[in-house]
Formats: sequence, C-alpha cells, structure tokens
Amino acid sequence: MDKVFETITTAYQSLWQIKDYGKTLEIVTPVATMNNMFVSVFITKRGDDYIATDGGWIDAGMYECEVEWKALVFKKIAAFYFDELNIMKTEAKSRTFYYKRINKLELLPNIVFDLANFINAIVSSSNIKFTADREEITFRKYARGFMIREFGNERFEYDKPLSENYPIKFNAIERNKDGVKLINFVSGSNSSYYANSLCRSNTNFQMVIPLHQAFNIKRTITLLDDRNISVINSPQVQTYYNYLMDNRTEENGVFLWSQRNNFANAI
Amino acid sequence: MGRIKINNELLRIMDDYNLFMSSCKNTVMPIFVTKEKPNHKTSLYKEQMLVSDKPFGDTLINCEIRDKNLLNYSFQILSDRLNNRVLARLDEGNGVHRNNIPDIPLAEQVVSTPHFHKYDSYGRFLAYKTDSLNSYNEKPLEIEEGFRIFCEEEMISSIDGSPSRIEIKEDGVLPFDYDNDPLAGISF
Repeated sequence: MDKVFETITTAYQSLWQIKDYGKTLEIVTPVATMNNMFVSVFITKRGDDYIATDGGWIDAGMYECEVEWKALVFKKIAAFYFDELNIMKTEAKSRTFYYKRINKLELLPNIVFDLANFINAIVSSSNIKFTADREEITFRKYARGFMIREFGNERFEYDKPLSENYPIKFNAIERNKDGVKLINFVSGSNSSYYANSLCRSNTNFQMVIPLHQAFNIKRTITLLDDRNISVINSPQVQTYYNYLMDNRTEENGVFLWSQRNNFANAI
Repeated sequence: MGRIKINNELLRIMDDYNLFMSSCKNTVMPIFVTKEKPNHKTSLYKEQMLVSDKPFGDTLINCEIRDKNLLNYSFQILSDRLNNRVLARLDEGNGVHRNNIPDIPLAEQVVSTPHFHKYDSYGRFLAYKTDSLNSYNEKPLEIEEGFRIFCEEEMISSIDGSPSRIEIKEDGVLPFDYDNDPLAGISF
C-alpha cells in the first residue's frame, strides 16, 4: 500500500496544464466532463482583482454540448449550482461568461475550484435527457402522415413491437407474404436528443439481426430528419451516423427526409 | 460516449489511405483566408484542392479560424472517399480532450492542444502530439507557424515550389489587430 497515495497524486498532478496568453492564463484542470473534455478555467486581472472564468466556453459550445437553460428541470439544476457556488455572469461577444472574482492571491485557488466544479456540473448535466424530445415526437407524426398519404392506412403498422415475444418496437412495420420490412424514424431538436434517437434505432436494428431468418425480415430502413444539418454534423451524432453509414447495404437502407420521395419509391 | 470508435469504412481502404498520407501533396500557396464560413459566420474559412500522385478521391485542404481568433484554429485534409471526410487535422485553441480508454492510465489520457489527429492502423481517429508541437504546450502556437508545422507533418508543399504560407485577411476589414488575450475588452 506504500505506493498507493503517490501513484494517485502523481497522476492527478500530471493532469494540470497551462496555456499562457500573456494577460490571460488558461488552466486546464483535472476535472473532466461526462462527455470527455477536461475543464479549462481562464485567469486574468481586472484592477487589483483576479478573475476566474469559463472564458465563455459553455455558451460557445466548446464543451461539445448544448445547454438547454430554459428546460424546466435543467433550470433548477443550473440555478442550484449557480447559487451554491456564488457564480456571477456577464455578457460579451454575443455570449455569456461565467466568473468569480477575488482580491487575495491565496484565495484564487478557491474560485478556480468553484468554477471548475460549476462548469463540470453544467456541462455534464446537459448531457442528461430530462424529457422526451418534442421534436422527435413531431417528426414521427410527419413521417407517419407522409407514409399514410403515400400508402394508405392498411399497409404498415406503426410503433408496434416485432412480436409478443420480442417486444422491440419499430416506428413502422410491413408484414406481407414477401417478408417483413422494419422502418425507424430518427430526429431530435439538439445533438444529444438526435444522437439518442439514432443510437436507439441502430441498436434496435442490431438486436433483430439474429431474428432475420425466423421472422423473414427482408429490409430495414432508417429515415433521418435532415431539416437541421448542423445537428447531424455535431460530434455526438456523427459517431452513430458513421456507424449507420458504414453498415448501409441494399437491405439496410438509409434515407433523408428531404429526399422522402426516394424513400417512398424504395419501399 | 467515451469509447474511441473504429472507422470500418476506412479499414477497408486503409492501404490507399496510408499511401496517400505518406505521399507528397501539393496545393496553391499562399492559402488566402478571407471569407466567413457560410453556415458559421463567426468563423473564417477557406478550402481548396489538394493533389497527390497517390490520389485518394477528391482531396481538399481547409483552414477554419474560430471566433476570428487567430489562436483558435484547425487545418484539415478532407476526401470524398470517406463519409465523414476528415483524413487528418491539426487543432489549436479549443478544448482538451480526454482519451477515455480504460486501459490507458489517467495521466496519459490528456491530449492538450495543439495536437494532430490521424487514423491509426485500427481505424481510430486518435489525437497525438509530435516533438514539433511539444514546445507549444504552455504558449499558444501562432497560426502561421501552425500552418508550417501542419504542412511538414502532412508533407504538403506549394504547387510551384514557393514557400508554404497562409495569409489571413478578412474581406472588407482592416488588418487584424493582433491581441493574444482571449478576454481582452471584457468587463467582469
């Protein structure tokens, strides 16, 4: 047990990084967010006071997450940390800067500590899905409406499980003598929700691969909501998007909502 | 989240990727960065053709300067042969990523900026530092030097033998008033 304390503290120590911008210092802290970014706290001076700030990074999206300040549940979380840690904010360069100020150098570590914890709390919590995403529900309605107009009411069943014994749901299922077609609709109002929707769809299709023969599953199709391209291009979504595209074949089709006529023709 | 993913599409064409990456590539120099990015007005952006005698689809080199801040930028090599297009990258000025791989000791999971990204033989787009970048841990790497280092690492030179150079001047705006301080002018 001799080396235990040293091993741990040496590792933590090496996580500290510094970037010197002259009048401002960027301190990269050992605190990492749940989406794998280390928290940076910027230090500068205003008069005789030290300022520790997030540098506007939360608002600028530098932590690769979208913070829904207005969502009711998230509002409470944000307000809690904001008040508990006595954080202040200011607006500049069309974004919000979160900060604390202190006069004595020996108390500077205290405010760095608080800022690092605040940034981590906000960024990590913003990765939690607090409510079902309205956007996904609405897109499902549009997609279903489109399919009913194209194909009538009888051809597909919607949001049903594959079978009683396999309660994995798909947004649309066609069953006829030629086999079974499974279709999923993917959407989300931000990158977290969209990534979640896509991941769920990918996973559900993956889970039924061993059942293809037993259920005569001939095709799986993913219909992607591409009305907001920047969401699809975000790092969080790209992971699952790349997986989807890598596994695309004749039988495992992928279509964009903007080209839904191609989608309709394909089925 | 967290696990480094494998690009299976690239694994299938790994030999071509490696041939291209180790070949001599050329583009028109200097690269002039003057316009805002179309869907991202706070960034300056330029992309142009990159050629090689070991081609890998249609390849491009691009430069993005985020927030019009000369110390917050990326250079990339792109190809239409890959779905997510990016073959290699140099980043400076943005956040420090954590390579959250369970087998890697905590201290080694930090990849500070500036760093390169490239695909390894397992198809993972890993961040890494080279000797030329290690001296820029504590002070930012200025964009002109960053461009030279990028060109050196990726073997990119001028089509006509002139020096590898980048010139940044936003259209219709006076030359950059160069202030390193990311918090300049903000009252707290």
